[in-house]
Amino acid sequence: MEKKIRNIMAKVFEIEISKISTKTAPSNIDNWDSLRHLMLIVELEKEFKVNFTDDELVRLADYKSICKILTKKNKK
Amino acid sequence: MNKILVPFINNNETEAKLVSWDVDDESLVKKGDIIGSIETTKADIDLESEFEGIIKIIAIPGNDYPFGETIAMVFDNEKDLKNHKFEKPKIKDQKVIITKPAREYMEFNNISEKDVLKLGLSIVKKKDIEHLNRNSKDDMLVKISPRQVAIGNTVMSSKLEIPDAFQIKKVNMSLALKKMQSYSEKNKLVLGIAEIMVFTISKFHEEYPFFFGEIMDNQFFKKSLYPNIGVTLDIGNGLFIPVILKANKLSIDEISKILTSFKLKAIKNSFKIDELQNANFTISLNMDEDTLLVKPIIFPGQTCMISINAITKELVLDNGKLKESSNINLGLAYDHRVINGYEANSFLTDLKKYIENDFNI
Repeated sequence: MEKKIRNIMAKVFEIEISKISTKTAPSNIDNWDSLRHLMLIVELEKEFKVNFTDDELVRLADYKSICKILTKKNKK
Repeated sequence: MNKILVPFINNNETEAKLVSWDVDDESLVKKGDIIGSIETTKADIDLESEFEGIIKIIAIPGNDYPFGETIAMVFDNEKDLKNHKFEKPKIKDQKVIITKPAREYMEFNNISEKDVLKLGLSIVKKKDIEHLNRNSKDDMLVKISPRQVAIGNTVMSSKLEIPDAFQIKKVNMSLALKKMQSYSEKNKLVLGIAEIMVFTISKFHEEYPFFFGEIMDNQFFKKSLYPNIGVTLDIGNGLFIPVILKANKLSIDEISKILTSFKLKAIKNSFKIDELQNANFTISLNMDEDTLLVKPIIFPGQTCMISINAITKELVLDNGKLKESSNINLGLAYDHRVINGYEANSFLTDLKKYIENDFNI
């Protein structure tokens, strides 16, 4: 799952996949603006066939939280 | 004139498909020439001309025609051909292919499929139907979409009905952005200028009631109980203005949650009608890089709209030292029936002071 997330993030933020780590967050990715954040959400929903709740949407704030929320959703 | 008919081929069928014409329309044919071909489920048959003269083709390849139907005519001379009144042959189970560009042109220009089928073409291309567009005499005319007409009507109504004025103020966002970033990282939230502005402007509802209400019959002003703040969102699917109700009762976390959900709905085009209603104040977001100023209109039913423009950076002197400052221009369009320049300036000045010095989440 993490590989897929990294692929999506690399595509959305137009960066090399090697630059995505557990510390990746808006503060260290120049391209992580509000529009690309939305694109990221849309791509994640499409890839993992999930719909994020409003609570989850605002918590998808960095790589770690994305992995955490998607892991939790996949277990349901 | 002699008729070329679909031959009677067998007892089990009643029609045949015209496959092709092997001669050009209005060309000379001789008796015995192969002029085309037809097929049934059981046989492929060459069509042979029994006459000599000028052939006028009236049937379209790809369509089924009953046995005995006239599909072409052969004239002795050009004069007879010119004087003849043609009727289109009967087609059974007409199979018409309408190309994608033609289909899009039909939808955009409200051309009905019935009108297109009347043309009797087996393949309909865009150029074949352009003359059916009653609203357009040529390609230089484009029909305005109903959605755009509605937008235009709202703007026109605003311009005609509302005596508006406009004021702009530069605001240093450095403190607010710093606090926002720190709060975002600490609380793992995605916050932006829109959240800051909704959060901040809603605080001025009580002090500036005339900015959050409705003018009625040019004689009365109706105050609002709460600031219901609309935010313009255009993420490629058209303009939406969803409304954050009772914004002054919400934390910035809650505002962020609602706005993120709205932005996603703008992408997915999935708003519910009640999410787009009852605004009494509108924020127009125009934050694309280098957008210094957008002068907003005022929606009929509201008394002002504020535009938030792009962040610009500049170097300023701070106690003799150079310092980077992040600024935005706030543009306020207001209705002179209830707001004058003095109040507009007070509102913007208080907003500026709060954002520059007192902003706190």
